[in-house]
Amino acid sequence: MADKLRSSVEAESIRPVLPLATAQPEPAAGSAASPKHADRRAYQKAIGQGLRKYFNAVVSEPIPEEFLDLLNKMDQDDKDGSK
Amino acid sequence: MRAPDKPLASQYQSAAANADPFREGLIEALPALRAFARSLCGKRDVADDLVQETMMKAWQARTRFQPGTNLKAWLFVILRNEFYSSHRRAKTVANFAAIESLKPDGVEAGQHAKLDLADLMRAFNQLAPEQKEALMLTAGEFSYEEAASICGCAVGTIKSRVSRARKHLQQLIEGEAGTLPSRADAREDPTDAFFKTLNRPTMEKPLR
Repeated sequence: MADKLRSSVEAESIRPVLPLATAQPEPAAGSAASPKHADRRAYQKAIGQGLRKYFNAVVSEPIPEEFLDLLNKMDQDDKDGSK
Repeated sequence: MRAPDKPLASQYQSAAANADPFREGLIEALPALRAFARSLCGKRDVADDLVQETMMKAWQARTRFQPGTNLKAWLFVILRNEFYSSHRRAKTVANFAAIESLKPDGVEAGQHAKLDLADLMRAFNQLAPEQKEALMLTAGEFSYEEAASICGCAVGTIKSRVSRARKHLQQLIEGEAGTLPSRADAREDPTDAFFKTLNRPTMEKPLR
């Protein structure tokens, strides 16, 4: 872990990348209200809800202690380094 | 060092008593980073390892973060770069055990259908990474605009990826049941699903 901490970062590679690609047309929001279409819409919506449920289930997990240990170690390494 | 008897939240608070906003923001983002990482990596330990790599990169690069801008989005960019630049991309495998536990919470999916979360996540695991991330970034806490910024693409690209991915998921779940690893297989031998994932050509396609 300590070796990883000391390894160098490629600074530029982690700069947020701004959108460059040209805009694509949005998928057409169907207005034809056939029952089949409505079912499909409901299913698509349910997929979105299901994915959110999965995401939130992981979000609500307690954070393992190793994450805090890592933060404390990085903090300490900074302090040791600046002495 | 942390006191073993204190709850984690108060350890975080006392450890950050000297009010380091970067550190606090990083801690605040951890649950969402873990969720995003798990959706990309499938497996909990691989995902958590990715988040820790992200924390280290972010910590080393913290002087380049502009205060007042979106720290969470900045961290997601780092995590995403780590994912695509590392071997983890090939290690995608679903954590079926965790997904199965969500099963009773299937959501209503229209008049005649009920969507089972385990089926959904098995299908999700079959998607290409750029579809996974578009779905999860927008299902989580980001707008289409923020997701586009994180992925470095146009808003319309994110929207069409989400739309296509949802349709693909529906096809996988209801139309082509044979293409999904069966629930029994998944429970008995996750490595089978792992190798199926590896053999899919779309998994090897570079994002850009």
